[in-house]
Amino acid sequence: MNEDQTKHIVKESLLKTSDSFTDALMQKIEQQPVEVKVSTQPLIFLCVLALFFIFSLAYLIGEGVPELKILDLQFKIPALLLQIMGSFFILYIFSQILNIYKNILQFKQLKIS
Amino acid sequence: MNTTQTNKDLILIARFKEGDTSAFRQLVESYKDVSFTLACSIIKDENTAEDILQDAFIKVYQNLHKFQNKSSFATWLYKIVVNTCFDVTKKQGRNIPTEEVQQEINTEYSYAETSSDELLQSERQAIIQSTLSSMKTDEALVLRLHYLSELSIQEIIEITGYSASKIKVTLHRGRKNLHDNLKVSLGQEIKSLI
Repeated sequence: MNEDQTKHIVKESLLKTSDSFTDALMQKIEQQPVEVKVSTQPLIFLCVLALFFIFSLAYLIGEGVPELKILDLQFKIPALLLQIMGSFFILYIFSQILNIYKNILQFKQLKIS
Repeated sequence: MNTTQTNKDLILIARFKEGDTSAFRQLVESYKDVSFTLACSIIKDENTAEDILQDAFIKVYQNLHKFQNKSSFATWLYKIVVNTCFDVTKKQGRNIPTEEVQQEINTEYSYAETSSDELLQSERQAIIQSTLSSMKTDEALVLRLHYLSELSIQEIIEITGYSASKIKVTLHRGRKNLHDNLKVSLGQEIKSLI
């Protein structure tokens, strides 16, 4: 039996679901409880980091510090760089919070429709 | 996979992600029969297979918003269907032994002895379906994924987790066993089938 013959035969083995399959499925889906899984751990972590950056930025801006010296070492970070990084980081956190909010709304919308 | 079907699927998925559940209904209508046939390759009882398929479609519904088009929707769906079926067989051991099914087929469809002039279409289908049901799960599944769903070896690897060599060997063995089993069931009538 060659490839084409096998294909022809296997195609004929298609089984059909019962007529009520789709209706029963959609009914089951409607009865499913909506579970919105929002992991709070990364959100708490991000919020703590955001607070750290906000306080650091406030200090640097308030004191007018041009460079940040860490533990009296030769290691100096320009304050401007830290401010830019902090701003991007805060924007990222806001986008994450917005995404979570959007997902919750999407789930609710799906449940209603 | 058919490009037109793939594009149609992507449009339906986009509509679903925007909140249109009727798009999901259309996806179910497009894939339910092939998915059901695949499920029956693993779960040898049609009623049970239909129940398990419903569970698989519920999983698809719950996870469709995560679908990222890395593979085709069909591949993604069939993977969920196959995994759900295998999970059930592992948990409950619902696989009917192949020998039992083979015996049923031999008693139900002994067309070699009836020697009718022409096999009716419905009879042909019934014989083919029963013959495939009597085959080993992996052979029936791989044959159907390749020839019925028209998936490539790579896509079958993605769905089943089998190696390429195992799929090729299973396809070869499956083709041979399909022919041999049909010959047992049909005798000379096999010529009208091929």
